[in-house]
Amino acid sequence: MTAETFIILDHTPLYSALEKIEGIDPAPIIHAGLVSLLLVGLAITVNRSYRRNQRVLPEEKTFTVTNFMEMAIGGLFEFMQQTMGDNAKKFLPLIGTTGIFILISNLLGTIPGFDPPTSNLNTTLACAIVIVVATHYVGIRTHGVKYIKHFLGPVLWLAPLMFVIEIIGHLARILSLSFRLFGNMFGDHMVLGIFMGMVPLLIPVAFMGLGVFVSVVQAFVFTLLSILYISGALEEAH
Amino acid sequence: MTFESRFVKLSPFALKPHMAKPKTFYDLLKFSSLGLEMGASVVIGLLVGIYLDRKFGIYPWLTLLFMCFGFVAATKALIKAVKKGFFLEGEREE
Repeated sequence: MTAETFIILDHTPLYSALEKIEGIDPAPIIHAGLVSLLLVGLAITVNRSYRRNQRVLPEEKTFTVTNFMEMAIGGLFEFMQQTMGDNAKKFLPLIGTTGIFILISNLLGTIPGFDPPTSNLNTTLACAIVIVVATHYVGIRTHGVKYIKHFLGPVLWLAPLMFVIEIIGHLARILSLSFRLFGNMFGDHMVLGIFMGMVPLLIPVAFMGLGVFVSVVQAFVFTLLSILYISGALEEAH
Repeated sequence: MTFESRFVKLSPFALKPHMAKPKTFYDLLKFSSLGLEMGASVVIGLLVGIYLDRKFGIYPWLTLLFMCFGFVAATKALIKAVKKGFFLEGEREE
């Protein structure tokens, strides 16, 4: 790191415990754990508010966490229904989880003193691999052996060639999915850190605004692409 | 003649003028993912080629071959995106 940034979680006992294990970088692990804890807390809060009220829509006058979650999940579900139709309900847990995890991880980076876990390639690669493996699992579950037709193309004698090309294309999906998120978040955080070091007053605010925008757009792009990939595996091969 | 309508006339993928516009912000985001995917295809092809060449010890040949496969995969991604993107929301002609 060029800029001297102060990361709060680097000064916890957990960090020094993890530091002793060889070959790992503790920062993204701890931050991803923090995001997971935040998500669990969010889920418990929202669940309790629903239980307490004993109805589907809580009538709350102010803007609360429950309202926000309802808005987010409802919006995502409607968007998924436009693309996938009836399958949306089945895939909401998977896509919603990765989407909200990535969104909160990205937004964590805009709080000074925290590192976004998505600015490390390991985290984004894990998310991308989960999505791509799920895509092929869903394809095999729905189509059975016929799923291989997705890889063979329309012409029979070109099939072996097309198979290799399709495999390359599918591997490229993992690479592009993970590198886009990683690159955007890493670059964004780096710019913010450097400007914080140079001009600590007023100028970084512009980059923080940009950071919020990039975080939301990248989380949305990841979600959109996973929806597209999964609905691509669901449809019939041409 | 606008740029879009000229493109629609030249394009092999069919084309009524009203289909050619991306209707929402989402469609633009779909196309934005294309650039990186095309680049990644070539890189993956190259890496696979280098790995196989090291394994079999015939240095330039498989690298070149798999890089060409990567180029084809990139072009295929482009064609797929154009085909999908130009027939939005159920207007696909079979």
